[in-house]
Amino acid sequence: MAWTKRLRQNRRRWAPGHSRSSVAAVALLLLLLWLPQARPVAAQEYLSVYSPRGTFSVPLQEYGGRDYVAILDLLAPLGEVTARQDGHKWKLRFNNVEIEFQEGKIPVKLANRRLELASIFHFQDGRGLVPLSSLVALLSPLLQPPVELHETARRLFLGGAAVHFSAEVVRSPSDSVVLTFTAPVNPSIATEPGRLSMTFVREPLLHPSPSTMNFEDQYISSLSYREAEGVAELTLNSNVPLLARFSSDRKTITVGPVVQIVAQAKPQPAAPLATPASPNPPSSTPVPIPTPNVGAAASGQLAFPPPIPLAAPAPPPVVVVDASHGGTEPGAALSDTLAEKDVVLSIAQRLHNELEARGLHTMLLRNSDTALSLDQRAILANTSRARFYISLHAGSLGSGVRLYTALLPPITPASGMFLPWDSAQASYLSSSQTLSGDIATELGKLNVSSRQMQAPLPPLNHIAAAAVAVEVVPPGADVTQLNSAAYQEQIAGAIAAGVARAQNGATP
Amino acid sequence: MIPRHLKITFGLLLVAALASGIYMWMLKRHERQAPQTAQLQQPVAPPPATGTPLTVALYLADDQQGALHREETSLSLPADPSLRAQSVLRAVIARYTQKDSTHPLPAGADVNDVYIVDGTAVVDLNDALASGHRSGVMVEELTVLSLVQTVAANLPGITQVKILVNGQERDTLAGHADLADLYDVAAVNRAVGQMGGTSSP
Repeated sequence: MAWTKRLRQNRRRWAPGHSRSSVAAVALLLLLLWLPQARPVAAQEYLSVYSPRGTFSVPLQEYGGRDYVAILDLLAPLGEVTARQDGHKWKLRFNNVEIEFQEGKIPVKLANRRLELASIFHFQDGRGLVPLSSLVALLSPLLQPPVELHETARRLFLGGAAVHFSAEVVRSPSDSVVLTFTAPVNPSIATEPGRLSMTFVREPLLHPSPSTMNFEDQYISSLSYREAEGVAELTLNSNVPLLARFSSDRKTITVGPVVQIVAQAKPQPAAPLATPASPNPPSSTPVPIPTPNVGAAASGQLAFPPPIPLAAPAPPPVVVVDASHGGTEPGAALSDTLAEKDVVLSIAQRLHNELEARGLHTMLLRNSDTALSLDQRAILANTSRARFYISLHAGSLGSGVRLYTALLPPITPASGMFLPWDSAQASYLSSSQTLSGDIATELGKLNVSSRQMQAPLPPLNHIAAAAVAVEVVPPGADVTQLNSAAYQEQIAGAIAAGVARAQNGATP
Repeated sequence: MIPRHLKITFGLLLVAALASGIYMWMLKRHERQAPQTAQLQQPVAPPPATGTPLTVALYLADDQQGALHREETSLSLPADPSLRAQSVLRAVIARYTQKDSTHPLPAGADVNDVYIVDGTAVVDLNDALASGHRSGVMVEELTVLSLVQTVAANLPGITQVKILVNGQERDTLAGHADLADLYDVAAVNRAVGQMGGTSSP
């Protein structure tokens, strides 16, 4: 048969030698199809800059395998800077010192000196880009020394900006590691079985020597320091679940086994709350994941630290204070160095103390730089069954304080055990407006101007309590006044007095 | 020897692979350049005059006073309600992207589209407006209320407004103003009146 003969011929043609070249051709074809998609999209990287004026970050760009930084972005927060293009030359004036770059060239004229960049200068979209590795040489003549660059970690320290720390094991009243810092700190905290990590984004935390400390402690075995991707990280390794507690000046962090830290914290309701790693549990006391005792596990047993009797459960809070934003969500950039999340956290802590001083038991939804979703905030507030909910915001538009209640459609409030999630606030709108009025009255007594409005501001609609969002604005044109301790105390005091007024006037 | 027809097939496949590779590279390049192009766009102008000139009410935000002001102007509006809503919103945004605006919005801010379904206007804003918007309770509230109030004032029968960004739902405009829920026109009108601005008559 003709077709069987052709088949036999084809089989001969697909002898091993031929199949190798065919496979190679197919592989080449697949490679060509794959190549355009293979290159991963790199995430935007940043250089963290720590200076006496504050902390900020600038984006990095890659050219020829080297990291570059836009010199104008870097210098703008540090002083008076102007730039102009003159043909292939790019002239920059910083605090009356002129620097001249040339596109595609390595030499740079700085006043009367000549410097060499590590690689060529780039000019793109009106931005002059210099190699990251040349920053020390370039900035040293311009800024107050020292200029220290941790290139691999992408951290730049200017003018001696630094935070140091020491660590010691304390045996009494319970085993814990006490970290003492030279300036207030506000790290993000995360826990996982066997470790607690503190990430310092804004603080110029410098490495200790050596970078790993070992402890002779039954629970906490070591502390290690690491810096990378523009942040510093301290990690405590342990065989039990750990919890961190901040001192009121935020210069000391005490880390110890959960049960011991919680037991210490209970008799001191006015002290800042322990910081939960996960915001999910709807309680003021964090509940970390228990970690088995590793040493005991090795011998075939699972064991937990000796149980310590806990105090009776705390009464439900009267007030929930919600410092908006946090973590990776900074809120409004009030200035180059001032983020809304930091201002509101500071006001929230002051408000917490003011409310507790008035005998109003208060729950802070976040007490560190932690991210919480809007729904998590509403769930935590609702499950706490607090009577009042205060959400704190900060802004730079206008002056004084703005008080917002929920913007809801005119609906008949639901009754019964369950409330609709989208309009849970409807049943409480009248008491929210009373609370807003009481806070406005107390602000007026201190001659602080205020406005009462409605706003589409989540999560107000979902709160089943008298709920007011307070937007604190600087008293004058200077936005840095938002960071003034005196102004924050004044606002926190007035809000607390307003809540106390509403509490006294509220019908049970 | 590889048969001739296989050589031709592989040759054609190689050419096709190279061509698709170049096409994808061009697509990626275009995608990378797209956001920059959006940022470089000039402020949007009101749409070209089509239809009969009509007096429309624009609710314009004023950052300093923290209020909305009603302003009447003449616009040539198309008959289609969706296009009509788009036209009045573009007129508002054009005012905000001018140099001396009382409520500046980022350059390139625009409305992609407006859909009207059973008394609900779905306003699809572009990414340049949302991504470049200033963050803050008051500043975001002014933008949202200004757009909702302007649509409601010029399209009778609209009772609710939903705002999308590039066709997608998002939680907030720039960290504060709610975009997840529908805006009730009556509630917005009441809030605008309470702000001290001019609410709908």
